[in-house]
Amino acid sequence: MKIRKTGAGESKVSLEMTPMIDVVFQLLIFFMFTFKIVTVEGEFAITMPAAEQGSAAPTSENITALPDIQVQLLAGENGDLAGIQVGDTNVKSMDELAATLKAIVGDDPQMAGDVEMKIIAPDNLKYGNVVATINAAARVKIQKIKFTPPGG
Amino acid sequence: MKLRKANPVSEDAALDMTPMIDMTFQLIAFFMFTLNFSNDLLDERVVLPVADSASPTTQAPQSPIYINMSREGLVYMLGGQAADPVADAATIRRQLAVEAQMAKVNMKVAGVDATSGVWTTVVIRADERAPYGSVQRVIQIAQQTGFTKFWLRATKAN
Repeated sequence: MKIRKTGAGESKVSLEMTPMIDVVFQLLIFFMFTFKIVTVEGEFAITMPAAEQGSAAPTSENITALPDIQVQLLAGENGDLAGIQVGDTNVKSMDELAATLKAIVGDDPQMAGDVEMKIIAPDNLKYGNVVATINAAARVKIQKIKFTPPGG
Repeated sequence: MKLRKANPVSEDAALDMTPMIDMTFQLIAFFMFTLNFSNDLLDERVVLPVADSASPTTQAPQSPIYINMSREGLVYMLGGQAADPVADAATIRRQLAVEAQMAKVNMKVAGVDATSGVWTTVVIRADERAPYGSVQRVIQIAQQTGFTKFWLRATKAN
């Protein structure tokens, strides 16, 4: 059998580039426009007991030996943070709050895990300040954080 | 003065395409790998509070509900409609009750006890300027409808 030679003698084979480049640019433009820089979001996981109407918040007897920490946030007219109080002492900044909490719970992670922190904040306070407070508590490994019911 | 004619252009001036195509493929590969289709429920209008110890959890929550809250304290939920948790608590309660009911049905099918709260995680993405009272009311409403697990979203410090 004889195989026919087609186009014999043509030394130069030129590949048609144009359609490929068209498609490639289309793809490039699509991916460029859908490009979005996503900032990493972290979270504070909190567990709230299911609320039951008419019953008080659950209290357990055996943890009453530990002193609870009460952090009170004060708000100005426009909702900005006006002051922080740990118990009765005034604290100037979130860093100082973390240092104060550190002084209370010490280096023992067991102690930090057992102690309960209560956050009292007025309704008009900007939420970012509350997260900053939780952040300060998380830095010293306090795990039990209590929120007061709204209306304060 | 006479200008010298250097290399008169040959007939088949072929442009070398290879480097350009290499670069273009590199770019396409980069943009392809950085593409993510997830996180469609996140609201771009919300400016999250910054917290450096908020760590991203490695495991995804069980069928989460996202609640986005604007700087005015309005809730953007499922349909994208805004509702004030203080003035219009009933709307939010109704939506959350539906979600809780669905979760309970799913838990019953899966054979999980639902008496101590549903397994759904409520992911709260509140703006840092939102009034705290509104955020708290949303949590309270969710708590009353049977949710116990909450995530407060924050961005890592940049």
